[in-house]
Amino acid sequence: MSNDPVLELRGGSVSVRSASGPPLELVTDVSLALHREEILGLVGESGCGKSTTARALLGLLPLSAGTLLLHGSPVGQNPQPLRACVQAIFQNPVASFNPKRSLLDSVAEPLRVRGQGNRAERERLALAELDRVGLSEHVSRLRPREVSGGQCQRAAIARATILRPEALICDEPVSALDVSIQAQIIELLAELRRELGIAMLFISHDLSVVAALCDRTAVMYAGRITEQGPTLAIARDARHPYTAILHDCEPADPAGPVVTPRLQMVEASEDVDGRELPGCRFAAVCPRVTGECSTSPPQLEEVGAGHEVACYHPLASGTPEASHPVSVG
Amino acid sequence: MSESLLSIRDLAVDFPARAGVVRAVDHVSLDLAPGERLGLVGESGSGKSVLSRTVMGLTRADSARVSGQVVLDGVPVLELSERRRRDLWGRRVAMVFQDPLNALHPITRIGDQVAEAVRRDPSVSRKDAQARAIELLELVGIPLAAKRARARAGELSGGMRQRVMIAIAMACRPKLLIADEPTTALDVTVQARILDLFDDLCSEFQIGLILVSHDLRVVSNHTDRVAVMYGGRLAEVGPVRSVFSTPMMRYTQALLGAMPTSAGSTQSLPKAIPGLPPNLLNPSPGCRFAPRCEFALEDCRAAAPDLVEVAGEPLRRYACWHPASGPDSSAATSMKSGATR
Amino acid sequence: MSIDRQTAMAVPAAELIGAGTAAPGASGRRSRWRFTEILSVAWLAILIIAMLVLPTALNLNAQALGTKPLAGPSSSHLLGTDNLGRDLLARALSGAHVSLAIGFGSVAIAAAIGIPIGMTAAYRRGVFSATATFIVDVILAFPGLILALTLSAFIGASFTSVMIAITVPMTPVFVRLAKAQTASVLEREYVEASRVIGTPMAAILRRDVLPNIAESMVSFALVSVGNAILIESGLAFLGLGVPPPQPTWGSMISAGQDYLTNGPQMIIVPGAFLLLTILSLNLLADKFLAEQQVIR
Repeated sequence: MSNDPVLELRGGSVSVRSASGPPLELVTDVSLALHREEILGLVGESGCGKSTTARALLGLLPLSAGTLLLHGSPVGQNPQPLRACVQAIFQNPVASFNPKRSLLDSVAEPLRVRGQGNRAERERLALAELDRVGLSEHVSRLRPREVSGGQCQRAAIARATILRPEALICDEPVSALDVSIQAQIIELLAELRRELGIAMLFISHDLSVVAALCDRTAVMYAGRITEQGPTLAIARDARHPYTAILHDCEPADPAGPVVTPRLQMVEASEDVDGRELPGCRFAAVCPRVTGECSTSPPQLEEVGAGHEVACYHPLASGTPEASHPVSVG
Repeated sequence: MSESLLSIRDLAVDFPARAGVVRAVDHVSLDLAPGERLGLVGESGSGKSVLSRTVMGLTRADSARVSGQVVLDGVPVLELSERRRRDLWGRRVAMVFQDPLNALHPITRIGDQVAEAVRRDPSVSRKDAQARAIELLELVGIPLAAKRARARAGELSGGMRQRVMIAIAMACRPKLLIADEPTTALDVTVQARILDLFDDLCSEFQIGLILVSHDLRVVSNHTDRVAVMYGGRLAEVGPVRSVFSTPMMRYTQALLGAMPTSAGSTQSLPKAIPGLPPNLLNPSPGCRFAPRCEFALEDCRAAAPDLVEVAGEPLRRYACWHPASGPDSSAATSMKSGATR
Repeated sequence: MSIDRQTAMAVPAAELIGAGTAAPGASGRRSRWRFTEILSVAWLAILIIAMLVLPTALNLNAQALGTKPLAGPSSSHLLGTDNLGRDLLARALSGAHVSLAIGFGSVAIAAAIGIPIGMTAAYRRGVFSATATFIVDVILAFPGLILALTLSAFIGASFTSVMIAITVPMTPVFVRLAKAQTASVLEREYVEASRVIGTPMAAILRRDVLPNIAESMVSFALVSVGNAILIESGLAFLGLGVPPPQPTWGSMISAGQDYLTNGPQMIIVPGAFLLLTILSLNLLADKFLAEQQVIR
């Protein structure tokens, strides 16, 4: 099976008009590729542009620079071809459904939009898909507010997969769910990848979830990708200071010893949006910043097999990190 | 025995609903010593938020039926009228909420909001309150406090806003702070700082803390004791490290297993807990976790287990008919490994 | 497959409680009708039936000059008579025709024109939206009373002039409301989800937007009916309404002014009809608004 990416963003940038002054670039020069049967994790904190990137991949937002490629061919102005191949699930499962319609109705919608079959057939297919994600017929006929968040998210997955898309964009799909339910959904996504071979983008602010599920991980800060590579490499051998800080700030394993962070972000007195800085966007809060960092933005450079970092002073390989915790006395 | 700062005895909170009664808190008893940090952990339907609000006296008599006793710093909270309860807020107990953007007034300057909180003590003059407000903002780590006091809530970052909320909570020197998911809405990098701030304040001023969270990891690093709740009941209580390294109640064990960790050389998926959050409406007689527990037996469904002490560890209590083997940590670990890819 | 089967019905109550606010039992279905709401529907039903049936059934005549002016309720005149001996019940029911026709008619027209324009303006931002907004603002700036006066000066006070005078200022309000509501719904996540699925815009408006703005539209429409009836009565009171011999509630009240002491029924009867009708409409309007708030 060809290993070409199903969906690829090359050098993508997304700008919005601001009321005063020049347009604000929310996402700059981002390149991501989604391959069959692979889950790519996208990690970052609020405002970093990960949701904007998701919308760009879905064709919901126009690119101000770069190209979006579906099976290698550029997607032009019309995002329609994407609709058949690329689907999505969102952060707030209950809000992603029309409150006036039953889950079954909403799951059958993609079929109706494409004029497939008659009503009875569509209902049958939708029930089958809902059953595959573990929802009974009784629950499927309920409305979104009558079911739990976890059940809604399952229905959202059913709706997204009913047309057998080749790529699935998951924008923080478990952030709003209980821990015990999160694990159910994560399991479900892993199964889907196995059974249907879907290429997935899994967006989250929670590194540990991404680390457990994703094959590759990309880290975003202020609209740029700072580090990208195989998940184990990112977890065990983080080279960008931001990635290392994210690791260390993640609350540690409850049963394990307390971890002291190796690096801390410099706390700025004013809120600085990294996007306004001329050089590296992380420079304002980076503990390893030097003069060079403010000149121009660092480019992604390869530091290992498939592992890239955008930094003028990347951490040395093999720096001790969170998996070998330093216990506090 | 040292005087407890907070003593909860047999607290039950019911919400009458059209279809029956929703039992949000089911006969919970807990103690908190002065300066002690207690983590209150649970998921949807655990009752942790209702419990913390009831302890403060925030539950309204017209929407809930409350029974049991809550004694806070010697004051029986539940017996007070609503007016008298308001006297407690800020002076003896203060709450820090999850979403500071909604909890802070969007237009009043933050310095004024903190000063307003200081002036709950009527003996403080307006001028002194302003000065104290700036002191408090410095205390919670807001740089350039005097200048920042003139800002409005919307101009600050999430972490800064939460610090303002904490300053407001600290304004009248309460003996107990209740923080309800204080970091859930914040970025991870800011989270750690806020939690460290709680640690510093509690140790410096000997303030008791109840940290309510769904995130075990947050609780494990910043509390001394933890109480795990499920379906309105206490599942397990004890020193935090000990509970999390050798959980007794099956829910605690399952919860730990459901957390994704990248420990180990391979990536392991979290082990899901099947089923749905517990049904609090007209609950069944057995253990609340039984429907989802892989170790549940007939007696689990028949009657709810009582809280019992762990032999040799008097501070630990759990409620389980068939607990995970206690001191044998290998059995506990094998449960956590979950499905490997 | 290890996916566990979720056959049990979920419990939204548990999650709502976990979120810290107590709203147990609110499952999303229609809430029960309150007593006042039942009464409102009852009054409107009674009014409509009475208006259609009673005049023939009781052989009522709104115009017949009677022999007993300013009489109180009696077996021959159930609600009494006016200063010319005309049966007040007959006149009030005849007036009901006008009031309800104008009330529901003007709202129906204003909604039929205004809602589609408003919805379109919400999603087609640009020239269409700007033009629509401008026209709306101009009409709203124009005092309705002046319009009524002008119309009656040009074409004479009549049923038509009253309808126009009420419908024209009402339409832009529907436009604005529909536009705001539609814009709000278009921001919602389920609309975004529909776009991702590939649903065409027309279908999104029809299936996602319309059902979710319906409740507030109905609520506003009901209040507007009450308003329209009130305005019609006001115009009639001023002599700008539907001209005699057709009785209307407003003109009846106007005529009854001079007979307050010896014939208060001339005002009380039309006044009571007016009050009960508008009150019922407003109470029903609240019910639709309240429904929206029950579902969080």
